[in-house]
Amino acid sequence: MKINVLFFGACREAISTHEYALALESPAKVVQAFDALCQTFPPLKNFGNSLLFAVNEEHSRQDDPIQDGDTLAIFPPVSGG
Amino acid sequence: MPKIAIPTALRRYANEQAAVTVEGTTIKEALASMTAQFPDLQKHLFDGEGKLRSFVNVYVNDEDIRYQQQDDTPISDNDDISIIPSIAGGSGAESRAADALPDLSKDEIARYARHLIMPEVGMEGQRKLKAASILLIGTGGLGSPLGLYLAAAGIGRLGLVDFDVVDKSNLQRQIIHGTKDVGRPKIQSAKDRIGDVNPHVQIDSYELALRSENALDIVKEYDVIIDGTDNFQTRYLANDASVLLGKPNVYGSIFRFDGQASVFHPAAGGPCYRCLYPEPPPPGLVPSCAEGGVLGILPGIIGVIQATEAVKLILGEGEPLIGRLLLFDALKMKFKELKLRKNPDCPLCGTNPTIKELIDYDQFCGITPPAPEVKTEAAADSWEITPTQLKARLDKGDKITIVDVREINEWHISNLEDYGSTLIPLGEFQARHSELNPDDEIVVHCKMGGRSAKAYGILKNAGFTKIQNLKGGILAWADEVDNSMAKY
Repeated sequence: MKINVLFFGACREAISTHEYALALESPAKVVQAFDALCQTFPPLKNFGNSLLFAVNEEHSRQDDPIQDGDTLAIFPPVSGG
Repeated sequence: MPKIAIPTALRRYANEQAAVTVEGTTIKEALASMTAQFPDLQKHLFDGEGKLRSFVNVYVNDEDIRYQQQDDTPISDNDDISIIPSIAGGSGAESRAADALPDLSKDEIARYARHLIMPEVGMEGQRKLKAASILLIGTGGLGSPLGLYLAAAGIGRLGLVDFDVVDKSNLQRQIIHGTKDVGRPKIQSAKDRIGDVNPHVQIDSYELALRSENALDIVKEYDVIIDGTDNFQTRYLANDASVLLGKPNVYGSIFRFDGQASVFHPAAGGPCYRCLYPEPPPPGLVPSCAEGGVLGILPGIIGVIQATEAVKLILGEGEPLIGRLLLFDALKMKFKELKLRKNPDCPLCGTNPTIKELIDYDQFCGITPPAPEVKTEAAADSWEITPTQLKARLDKGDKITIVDVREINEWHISNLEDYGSTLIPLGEFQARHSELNPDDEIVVHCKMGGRSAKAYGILKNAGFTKIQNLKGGILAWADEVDNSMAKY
């Protein structure tokens, strides 16, 4: 299956990528998609457990399922004020 | 027969009783039976259309009826029914009974005329705003529009927390401060400006850094908390203190052209900041506005959204951003919304919380002075070198390769090109460090020392040994060595 991945903020800058089409074995969870992304983009690993995931614009956690055609958005926290 | 527990604030309308015995088999019937006995309760609990007001929560055996069958939730004789105003466990301004609200003076009525003629505010709403207290953590980018608009709106009491002084580089976005205020404490400058905007507002000044030791004492004095801070430690601290005290935390955050806003309020069923971001990023990974920059207008947009949410919470009107994260992209000029979920395993607001008091947030965010792990072969035996030390060595004729890891826009403001400095932005550092010679003595620098510490780590991992980080970055260089250099 294929999912579309969107990167935001410091994540986007760390890997110089806005959007990526990720191929994955089905069925998969968010965590597997993220692990696969870390293989392709090693700097993502540095963010540890600080990232916010959203599947199809809905807040998701690592053990939530992800399906063919879904959009996974990855947001790092932002501290500015 | 079932009994309904009455909150303290409403007991005066129920003959001072803590519980009222009612008849009925559903919540709707039970509430109707209660207001039949005590008609004064009607207007405090229900709106003009007979619907329960948004801030009134009804629980049957500790379960919120909104998540059951609402009005039609069945009840039996042994059930415990309670009415709980949502904000701050009943201390919120919106839950204050109408005749306990302060009156408006003739001058205030003239001032708030445009509010008073709106059905959503009106006289009662404006009196709620006057009765309300809001804590603004930070009087910077977000705090500026927040302070100005909340004061103008007639919030009765505003608490301001900030320890910083106004710097010229603040003026591009921190519109509560003026050119004449450069060098003054932000608190004083903000207080003067707010006093001019609306002298009816009481201002509590806290010229200090919010810390675990003082946060609960300060936060408990306010109905609504607004997070306008600029660092992760204070964001987690503001979140934790608000959750522990059951207060709504109106969140906003900005970076370059992107902003976020939400309302964290576990006491009203929503998630908290930790449900979204369980852990902070490693220090230095996510740039601050000082390092990465921010569009000066952006905090205006996000701060005004926060102010709007705070006013709505106090009025008890509309749909708050509880459980929603608003994401704003100024370049695309688009708002996007994420539906948020409470994390049942959240250590703070989950089902089995492990955080029951405030913690050490510097430690939690990994802000501890980095240990000098590797001694370089360079003359200094520290991993850091001060600008004064570096200048002395350069003047002596020592051959040192200076590497600037900032962005090109920052380079254009000021740089050490006269000393042969090379620009390799941190984002490209991993890919480009092979351009450097491990046999050379290298000093890395950025604006203040944070990003270059990361570059130091990358070089160390790549086997470089003769490396040092310029302590305090180019800003410290400007202070210690070259006063003619532009600061930003």
